[in-house]
Amino acid sequence: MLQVNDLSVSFHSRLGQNRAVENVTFELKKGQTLGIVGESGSGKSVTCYSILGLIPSPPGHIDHGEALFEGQDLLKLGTAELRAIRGAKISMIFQDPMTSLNPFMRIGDQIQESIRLHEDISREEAQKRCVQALEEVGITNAAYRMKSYPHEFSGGMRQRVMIAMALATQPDVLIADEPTTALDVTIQAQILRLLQKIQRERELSIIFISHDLAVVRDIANDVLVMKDGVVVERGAPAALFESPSHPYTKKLIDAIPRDAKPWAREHSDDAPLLSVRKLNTRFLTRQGPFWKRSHGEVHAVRDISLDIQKGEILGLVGESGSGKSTFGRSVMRLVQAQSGEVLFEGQNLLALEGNALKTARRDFQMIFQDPYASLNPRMTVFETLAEPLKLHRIVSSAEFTGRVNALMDEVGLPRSATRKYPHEFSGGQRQRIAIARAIASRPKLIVADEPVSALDVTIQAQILKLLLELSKEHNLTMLFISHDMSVVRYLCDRVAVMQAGELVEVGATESLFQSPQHDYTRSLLAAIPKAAH
Amino acid sequence: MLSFIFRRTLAAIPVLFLVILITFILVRLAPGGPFDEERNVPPQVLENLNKRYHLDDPIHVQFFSYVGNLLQGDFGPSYKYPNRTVTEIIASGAPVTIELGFYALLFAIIIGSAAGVFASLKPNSWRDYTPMSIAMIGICVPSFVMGPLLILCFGIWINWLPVSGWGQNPMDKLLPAITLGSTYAAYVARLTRGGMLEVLSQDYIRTARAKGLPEWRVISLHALRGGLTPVIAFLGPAAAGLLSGSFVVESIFQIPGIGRFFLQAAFNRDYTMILGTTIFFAFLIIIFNMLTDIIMVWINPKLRQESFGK
Repeated sequence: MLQVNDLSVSFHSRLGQNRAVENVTFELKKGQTLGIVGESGSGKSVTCYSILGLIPSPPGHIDHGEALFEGQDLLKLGTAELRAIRGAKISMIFQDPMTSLNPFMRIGDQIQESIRLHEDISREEAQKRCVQALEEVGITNAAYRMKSYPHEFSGGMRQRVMIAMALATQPDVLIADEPTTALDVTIQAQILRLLQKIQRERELSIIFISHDLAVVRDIANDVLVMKDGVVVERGAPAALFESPSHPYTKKLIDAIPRDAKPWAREHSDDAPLLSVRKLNTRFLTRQGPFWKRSHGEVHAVRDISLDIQKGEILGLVGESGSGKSTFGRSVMRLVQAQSGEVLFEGQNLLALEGNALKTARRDFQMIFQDPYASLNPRMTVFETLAEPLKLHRIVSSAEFTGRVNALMDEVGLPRSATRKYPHEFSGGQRQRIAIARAIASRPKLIVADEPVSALDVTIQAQILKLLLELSKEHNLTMLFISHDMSVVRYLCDRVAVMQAGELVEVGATESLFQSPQHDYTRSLLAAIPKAAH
Repeated sequence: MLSFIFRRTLAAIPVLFLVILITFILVRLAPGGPFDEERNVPPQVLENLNKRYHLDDPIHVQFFSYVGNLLQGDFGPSYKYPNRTVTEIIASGAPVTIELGFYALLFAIIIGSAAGVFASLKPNSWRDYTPMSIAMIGICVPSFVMGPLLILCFGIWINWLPVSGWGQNPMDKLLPAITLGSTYAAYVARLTRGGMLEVLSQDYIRTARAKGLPEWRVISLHALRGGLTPVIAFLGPAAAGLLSGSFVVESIFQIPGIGRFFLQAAFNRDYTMILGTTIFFAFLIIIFNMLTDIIMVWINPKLRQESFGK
């Protein structure tokens, strides 16, 4: 179907030339899926973008190679000829369905635009095709939903819309660039099944780009492993998993969290460190011409009671919108809960105000999902780490440097990096800084809200390992919020499952994995890619 | 939608009232009075004048009678032009000033956004630097320099365009509109460039290109709407600046707008005239800012649904 030979792409900058893709060769067969796996920056996306002429040029430049499709070399086509293929015969879907659709246009218009661009058909005909395309990806009431804007859909639904848009023109090849990375595990499983179903029906060829080998194993017939622009290994996914020959492939496989927690924690039977009783958090949605009347309410956390023992890591799992983050934030007093008690060492946090709350905050800290957005970009790492020390008067200012250096050692960052700003670090390093900030005040409780969801699998494995080590070393108690069951299994002693604001199941990790009691827990477990089982 | 406008209109009333109150107090705090420049006015005459215009009443009485008249659309008599009321002067000059402001704004939007889009397509190349440098000059050169310069070039040296007047010659509105609009065109250009650069790096632009859309359609259909958002936000303050700043251009080109009266009234301590023109401008500025807010919400589907319902 598509044959790429000896493709090399480089980016030119003032600092010199940087080879992003080097001598990449692969073949995509009709009706099959080719997986391309690698970390961020491994050149997997650049490879596919260059085939369609989508890399910005300059600075990007295709040095040599060919991409044969239907007897033509795509790399030698003029812009107009390439445009006739782009979106018509070779379509793309992207990682982030939140930002990849135009927020100003109705989704029906966006899909019809694609169809009418490549085919000379009437408006009515295009509308019909648009409805068909949306129905094919499982969007009900498509004729009506066509008039909606992207923000009216959930993340998974938007990715369905993206797929509908890409496939409405009946392409032969679909390039899927990390199509499920931004989605919850359960939604990821749905999207993967959808892609497989459409592939069978249409004999579609798919290039599936991902950083997650476990996902690729479930869907691909053939896998390329890329590192630093070079294909380091290729083969059938099962064989690759059985006997990886390149160390990098081994590293990717090892990074998949599939083991149970490496050691069991000794439980103390003392009073729990944190004891939540009948916690309720509601958000009011307001609307009205003058005096905003409450219009409805979202009951995000319903009557939740939960204990965390000292030294325990409790996993809190659920899909987006299940209320797990709101629960975490209510406990931290970042969101105001309406009723209930949060007893922290016997003291009700919900009743604290002003200075008492400030003093108490020293003992509970938070790590957030997005390490890009949750660090102040105008503060150096030193300033970020010294701030909690200063605020809670933990050490005298003379000892700041020593303390900050010790924190850097603990999270595995070089001491010399304290003078740098957050943008000078990679995603994984930033999350290390965020962890160092959280443990700076030597808290007793850490609430970690999806701390590894935005990271590549290999980086995720490193961060999880770090969290595990730190928790052992400092006897940290942690509430670990995640949508990913396999991550939770690796890290947590006990797991609590939330659905639609309610707690549906709590249990010790292994027994919950072995014999889940609730249907929802079972569906979460079923969504884990096979390779991670 | 209607309730949104209604709400904004209600909110404008206290703002307008405050403008009236503050202006009323400030003009009376300024030293001198409306009749100070009249030569050798006998004290008796001055007293009669003050009596006639109720300037000898306590200030709060004056204020409330003024507001009472205002509610009936009466801005009061001009102290400087005894034969005409302030209402008449505003009614005769305002359409001219508004027309001039409208052309200037049109010029600013068309030229500014075109230059901004052009610059954003090849950032950090000569195609970017050239229009942006011109824009920088446009921002730096004040209209009292720009006006005479344009007159010199187009009116005198190459003699294409009339140098003054309003409405006597179809082309005589061109130079004043350009003079007044050039600074704003420059701002619009910079804002458009920034907005477009931001939007062009968005993921949905990549999607549009991956669909196979030609570049001009990517720009015009997908990028422009988001790219012009900062420009639209700027239009309210820009319209305000254009209107209240028009007196310079009106003086240079001998245009019978109200900008001149606005300025002279301040020098003459022509209380009612100052108040009248200030209230009039404040009213227009509030209207324009309200329009801007409505458009801002309207072009963003998410905000539109939150504020107006479907």
